[in-house]
Amino acid sequence: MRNFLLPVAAGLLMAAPAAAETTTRDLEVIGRALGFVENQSGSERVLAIIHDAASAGEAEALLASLGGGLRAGRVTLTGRLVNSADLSGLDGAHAAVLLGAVAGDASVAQAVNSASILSVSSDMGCVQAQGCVMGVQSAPSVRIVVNRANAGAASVSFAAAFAMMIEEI
Amino acid sequence: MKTRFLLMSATAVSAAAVLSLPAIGQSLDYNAMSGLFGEAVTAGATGAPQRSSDVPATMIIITRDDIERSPEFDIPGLLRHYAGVGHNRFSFGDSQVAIRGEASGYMPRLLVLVNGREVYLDSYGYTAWSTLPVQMEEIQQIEVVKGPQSALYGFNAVSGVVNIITRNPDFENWVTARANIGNGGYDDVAFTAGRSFGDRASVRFSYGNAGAEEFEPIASNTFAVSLADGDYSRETASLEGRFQITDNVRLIAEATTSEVQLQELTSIYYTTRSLYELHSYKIDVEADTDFGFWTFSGYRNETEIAYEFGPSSNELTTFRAQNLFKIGTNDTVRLTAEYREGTTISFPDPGNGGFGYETMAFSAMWNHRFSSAVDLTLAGRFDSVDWSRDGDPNPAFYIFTQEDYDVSFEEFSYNAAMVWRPQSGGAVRFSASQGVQAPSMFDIGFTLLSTTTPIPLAITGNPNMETSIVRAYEIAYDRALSPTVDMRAAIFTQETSDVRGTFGAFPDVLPPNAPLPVLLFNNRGDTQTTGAEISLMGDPDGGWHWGVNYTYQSVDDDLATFGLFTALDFESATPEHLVNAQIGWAGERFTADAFFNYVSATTSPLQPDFGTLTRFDLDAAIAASFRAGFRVNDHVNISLNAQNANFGSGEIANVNYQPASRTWLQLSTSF
Repeated sequence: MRNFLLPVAAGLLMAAPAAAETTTRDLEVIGRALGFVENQSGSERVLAIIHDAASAGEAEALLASLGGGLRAGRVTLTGRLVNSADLSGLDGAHAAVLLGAVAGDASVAQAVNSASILSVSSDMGCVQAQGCVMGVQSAPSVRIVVNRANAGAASVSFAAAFAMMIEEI
Repeated sequence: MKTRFLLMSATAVSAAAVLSLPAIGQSLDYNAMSGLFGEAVTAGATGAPQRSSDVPATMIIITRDDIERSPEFDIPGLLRHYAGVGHNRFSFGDSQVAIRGEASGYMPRLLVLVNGREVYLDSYGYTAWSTLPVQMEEIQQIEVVKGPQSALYGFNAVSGVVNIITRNPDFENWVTARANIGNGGYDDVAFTAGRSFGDRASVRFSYGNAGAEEFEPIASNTFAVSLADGDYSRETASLEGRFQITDNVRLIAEATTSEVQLQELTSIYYTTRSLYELHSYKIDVEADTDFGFWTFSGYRNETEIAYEFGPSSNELTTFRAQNLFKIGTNDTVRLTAEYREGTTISFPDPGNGGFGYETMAFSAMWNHRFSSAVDLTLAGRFDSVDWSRDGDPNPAFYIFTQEDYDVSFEEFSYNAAMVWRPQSGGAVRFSASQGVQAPSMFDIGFTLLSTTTPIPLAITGNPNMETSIVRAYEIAYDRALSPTVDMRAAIFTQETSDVRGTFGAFPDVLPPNAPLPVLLFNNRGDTQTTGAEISLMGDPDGGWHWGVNYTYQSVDDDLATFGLFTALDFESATPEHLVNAQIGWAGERFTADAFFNYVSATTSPLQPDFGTLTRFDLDAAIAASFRAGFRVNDHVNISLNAQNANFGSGEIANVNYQPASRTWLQLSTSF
């Protein structure tokens, strides 16, 4: 019964994400946070911007703000648009930002986890509901929340110092 | 031997089972972390890395930008501009810093560390700031933790801790060369460099050489007048290598050397000229494992000091094992075991037997996050100390035998703090703490036969001296008043019982109870400081920034009779009001900064000649300092600095030497 209720509850929570748009500043925070993900070498990081039809415009704007590469702390972040209906574009990505209703799509979350890609959203409901590994808020102050269970499912781990400075759930 | 064996065994066992807080600070990428979170980060408050807004203590974090914009040539000068910091420049090179109290000569209550290594001289019990083997250009940040911090840092962190963190060559390559030349014979050159070699090794190096003519002495300080022709000189070097042994294990090795000559004011308000030759060696091994962040560290400080009253030669060896880990998502734990051994030759009178101590300490810290709004931090430390002497002081002069020095004591210190972030914004901190100040080697084992007094006197340390216990309570509130203005405020009280105190002019023991009249190091009573501080800082648009802070401190002493039995008088010597203000502007190539400091009137003890304790009135003073900088290109900067510009040829701001206006031109290059 418990095994049944938990996914349902998670699905209900994920079904109603807040409509928080991801900003360029959010991308900077995501990029800097990627510098503390373990077992990734080099400084180039590819961010898959997963969107649906409703968030396609937001995705285009984010891709434009990344330009030829956004320098964020230790890493340089480049972007790639991925439609939630066709996740083949996830290959080679280091992280995936989930936009709009995608942040509540359990199948996308599962696919991203299966590819061992760090999923992130500016919608904190997503990380609370185990829909993504990391929730990021850049204003008014930086807040980073990591869902430990989901990080484990995606085989993503963080530097010890980083883990002590963020919120884990 | 048996005791030592047991202590070392205990260290080894604890090392096998459990980490230390200051250690992780050495591997933090401060630039990346502060860039990520948009605020300073630190490991200085609990041993665990934290955002400055989360730390369970009132802290000052001075960044590299702050240092570059200050018209100051040393670290105490930087510190004096912040709330709750007392400062006295007793000579060109002898500055002393206090947190919420009197910045006395040889200030014993503030623990100072460089990258986690104590630079506090626990032989006499103070920090000789000029001897720190650090150049301003290699400092990543300076962390000041206010209030007792013994539970993390051990003995002597009773009014606070200053932890100086150097730049990390693992994360950046740099080369700087700088020359200062100014009035009063001031010149100061420094070279610093950090470079990584692939992913596995990096090196940091620094060298500095400075000199200056001494200020004018206070006319009524007879002894200072007699030493007035002694100028200041400083030469230091530091070399650090960092090696990535495996993906998760890092080794850090450091060696430093300092040679400094300067005039100073001692703890008995008596002037001395001192020559320091210090060497240190340190190794840390850090391992980021599935079972926590482990740190094993050891260092050795070798200290040779020639005071006016005799030589002192000391060694401090410390080993520490620490594990820092999270349990679940809301609990962070730090466990530490530490062994210390301090030894010294018989001083200043040779032939009375070398002596020293061994300390075994265990400490733990637990931080629990109840919610994103509330967290609690509890830390405790237990210290066990054993003293011994390997010879008999000459019984014709001294009252203690070798056996009298076989003393032990055990002490517990703690820190407890709750941080609450109300929905209305900001953070409120409630904290309580107990710190321990241990008797220094001087306090315990000093032996000197004074023949310059009308009758011969024995000046002796006291193996029966008690530790000094400091209890502090504080409520603090930090918040942003607007997007560009931050406020930090605190009210505090701090009680010190069994104050470590030096002798007065009247002997504590007289014949026939002693072969000669004895001036004895001893506990001299109690004191309490209560106060408040508030800081406002603004970063409006247009390249401007400003700051203003005010500190009120009221001291209530219950000490032995001044003059007769102690030289201490915190109540008169602590300024009641401190006000600091600064304003600065930065354009594309130009920067301009102005700093102002107000210190209210005090009355300071003074011992112009040995055995003649008196008091000296010091008027309230305002100091104004300025800096104008010009960036010639991406690699070359030039600045004009005026420290205490309104002091002219000297301001009577303390009882030793008169700080004068110093102006210097700085040319610096960086790559």
